[in-house]
Amino acid sequence: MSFTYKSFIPQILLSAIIIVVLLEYVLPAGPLTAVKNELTLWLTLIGSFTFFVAGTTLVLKYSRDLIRTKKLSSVHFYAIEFFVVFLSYIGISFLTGGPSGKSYTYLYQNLQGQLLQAGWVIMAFLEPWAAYKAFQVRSIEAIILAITGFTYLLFNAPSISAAIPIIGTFANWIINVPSLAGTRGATIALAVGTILLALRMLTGKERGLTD
Amino acid sequence: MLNIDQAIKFYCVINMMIVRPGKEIEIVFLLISVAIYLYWVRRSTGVKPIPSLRNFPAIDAILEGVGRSVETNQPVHFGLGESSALSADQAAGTISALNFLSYTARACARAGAKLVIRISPNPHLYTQADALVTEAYVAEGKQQELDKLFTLRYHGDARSYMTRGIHDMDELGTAMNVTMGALSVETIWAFAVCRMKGGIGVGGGSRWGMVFGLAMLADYSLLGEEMYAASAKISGDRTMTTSFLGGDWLKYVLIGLIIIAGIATIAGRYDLVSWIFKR
Repeated sequence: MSFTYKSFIPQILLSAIIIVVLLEYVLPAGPLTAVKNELTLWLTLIGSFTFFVAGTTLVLKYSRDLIRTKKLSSVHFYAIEFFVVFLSYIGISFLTGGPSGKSYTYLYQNLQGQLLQAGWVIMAFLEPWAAYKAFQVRSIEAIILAITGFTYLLFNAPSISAAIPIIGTFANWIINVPSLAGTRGATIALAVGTILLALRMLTGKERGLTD
Repeated sequence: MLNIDQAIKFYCVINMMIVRPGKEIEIVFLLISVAIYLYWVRRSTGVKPIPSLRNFPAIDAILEGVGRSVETNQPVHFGLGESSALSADQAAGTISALNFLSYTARACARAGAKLVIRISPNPHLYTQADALVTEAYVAEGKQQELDKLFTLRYHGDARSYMTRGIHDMDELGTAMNVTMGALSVETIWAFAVCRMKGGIGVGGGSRWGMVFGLAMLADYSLLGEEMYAASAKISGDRTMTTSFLGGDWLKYVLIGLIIIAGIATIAGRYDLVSWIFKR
């Protein structure tokens, strides 16, 4: 199959699905609702299949790492670690009643869950260190952020907000006015970007996702 | 002749037959979006010149960092963003980051600089990064110089993305760190380590929560939608540039809606405000 057809057919399918979903959203409930529900199920299936593709990609990547690296190094360690964990989870899942089985759940909660928490604990120390190390105030934006951030820090110290009550008013104004406006502005910019991305996908102009 | 009440009733019945009740303003906005988009797409394919986007210092800084990498023999580190994904509201930022990856990879291939890519904890992005970097080196005729084992680094979840990312920056040295996409705590640690190692920090992100980090930590930052604009500029893709310009028009429409809602609030017409904003 030529490249044109390989990209053209999925593009037509994608555009058709987006149009159906859009029409269903705006038209009164009717036959299109059933079509949209069926298409959503298909999309869920395709979405699930991408996890298989992702898993295959990782297996290939770590296999290549193992084969291509001649000298023993951390690359081997990470690849072996991946295969041990990957195969263990698959094996336990198959042998002990799937991902909702007791053994799998136990492993997930008591091993992986604890390791994830340990990771966050490292971050709790690392982030303040990194902030103290690297924060700099050298632009207008940084000056504004430094003043507002410092004010809010002072507000959260009970003794300071008790001694200087006006700091509470200022801190609350920062949160409720400029910060809220900024959040909404960023959300609008993000939403507009996403709408345009969707329209580019709909018309086949988004090269990054369709080629 | 219909009187006003009958005309309103007639409109409501027709309206309910055509559109789902409560979706009117969304449909109008969608139609306006499509119209603006189609206008700008047409402009992109025509001969009429399109407005050019201004230059961003961060774009020049990437080339400067690549030069520094060659001089110091230390690699350029590129972080694709620890929360990046090709879905939901992260998609637009992630695609912008991929454009920057392509641009940085081409600059590295051209100059012969080493490139280390921290790939987001999302296997789907591994294939994207692999394809983009390969394409960049092929485009520069340097595919033999691409060592994928060295360049493409996938670290699993967000914690190992951080710990091994820091390890790589510390062990290999850092001439420049570029961090783009959907960012979280990476905004802080990546630029702190970069500063420690004497590198240039270039960052861009669209998530409000990390704008402070970019403003205070990166040497060159692209805040919010500056990243989309810079990404459109470096992509050299006229459709992307024009759709970004169309985005500005959409924002004017939204500003108009906000002004109408503001006037309606002052006039006490809360029914109109709740109809526009569904509140």
